[in-house]
Amino acid sequence: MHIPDGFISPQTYIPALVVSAGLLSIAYKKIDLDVEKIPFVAGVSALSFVMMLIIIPFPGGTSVHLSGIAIIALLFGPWVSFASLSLVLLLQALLFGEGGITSLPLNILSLAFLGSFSAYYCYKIFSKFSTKIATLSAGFFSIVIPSVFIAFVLGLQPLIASADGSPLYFPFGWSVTFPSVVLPHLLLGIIEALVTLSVVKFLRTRYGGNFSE
Amino acid sequence: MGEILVNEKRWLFLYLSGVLFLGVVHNEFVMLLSIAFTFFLNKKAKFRILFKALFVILFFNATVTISYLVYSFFEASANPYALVLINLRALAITMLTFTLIHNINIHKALEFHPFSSILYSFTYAQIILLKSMLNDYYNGLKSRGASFKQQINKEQLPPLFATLFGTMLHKSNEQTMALKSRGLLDG
Repeated sequence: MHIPDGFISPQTYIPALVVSAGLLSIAYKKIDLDVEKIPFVAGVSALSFVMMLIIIPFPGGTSVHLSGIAIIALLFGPWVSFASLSLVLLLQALLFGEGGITSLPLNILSLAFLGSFSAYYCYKIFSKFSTKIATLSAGFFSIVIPSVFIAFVLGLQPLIASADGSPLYFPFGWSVTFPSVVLPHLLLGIIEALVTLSVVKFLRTRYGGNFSE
Repeated sequence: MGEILVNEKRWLFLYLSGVLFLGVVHNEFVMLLSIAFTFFLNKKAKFRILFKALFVILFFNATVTISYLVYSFFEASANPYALVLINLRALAITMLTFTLIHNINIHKALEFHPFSSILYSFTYAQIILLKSMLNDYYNGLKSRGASFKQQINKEQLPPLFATLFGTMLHKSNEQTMALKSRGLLDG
């Protein structure tokens, strides 16, 4: 789902950088994690890192991959998930070029922030009915909501950054980005939901005492 | 490059200025100049960094390039030459990023907050460990004439995952205890 370099205009990534930096500073103030839990956060973050590396590039301007966002959000809460996933995205951009450095603030806002919070609050809402359905919906929406945001941002580029009708950054508008980004992620969301359910269930059974929920 | 720019802050300043500059300039020759400058800046690593950056562009940007080329065939208003600038800009920025990573210690760059610094160190260690474990596992299968596809079925995945995750946590816990016992980590 990462946006590569060269597709996002400074008119978009500079405000996104300010917003993501502000949110990260709030996250670091809010996080009060026990030292004993750090290995678990790091372990699940590493797992998410590996899941995000297995990718299929898609014509809509992004890539399709599992993320593990909901796993971290459900096990440690949305702020820890946001901070650790931001770190994962930074590492991927710097070490592998997966997700560009100019698009990093947007990748942080979509995957780390929207992904973590949508997963967490979906779980909260649906857990009144069934824990299983709540976990599945957390996994599903942790993928789908960021993909809608990414489709919106990519499709915005030809409108705000063109010269004489020629695109300077991402060339396709919303008529292309919404179907090509969101539709594959609707299918991927189902797989992510099943993976989230099985991994969360496994980790809670095996290492239950180490997680916040 | 160490003799020209000695510390991380200078590299970071050069890098951020470069990224900002490349983001606002819309000229193919400037992009080519930047690519050439970054290429020669890397001295011994120049070909490794160039090929790595080219691979990234081919892998992540090619799908958009190809689909826009096809689209421009049918849509008269589309300008396929715009792709030259888009891809050159992406290559120039990616090469700058890999050059930065080649020349600075990113561990130091993340020391702005204790949580990020500790989490980064642990996550990075876990990634290296996971990579090494998966590699060993694959080599183990290969030496027995088997493969992932032949040998791993649905029932075998949970114990495999339990072993990998358990080992990662065990190693990570050991590191936490080692850091705590040396007074480097507050309880």
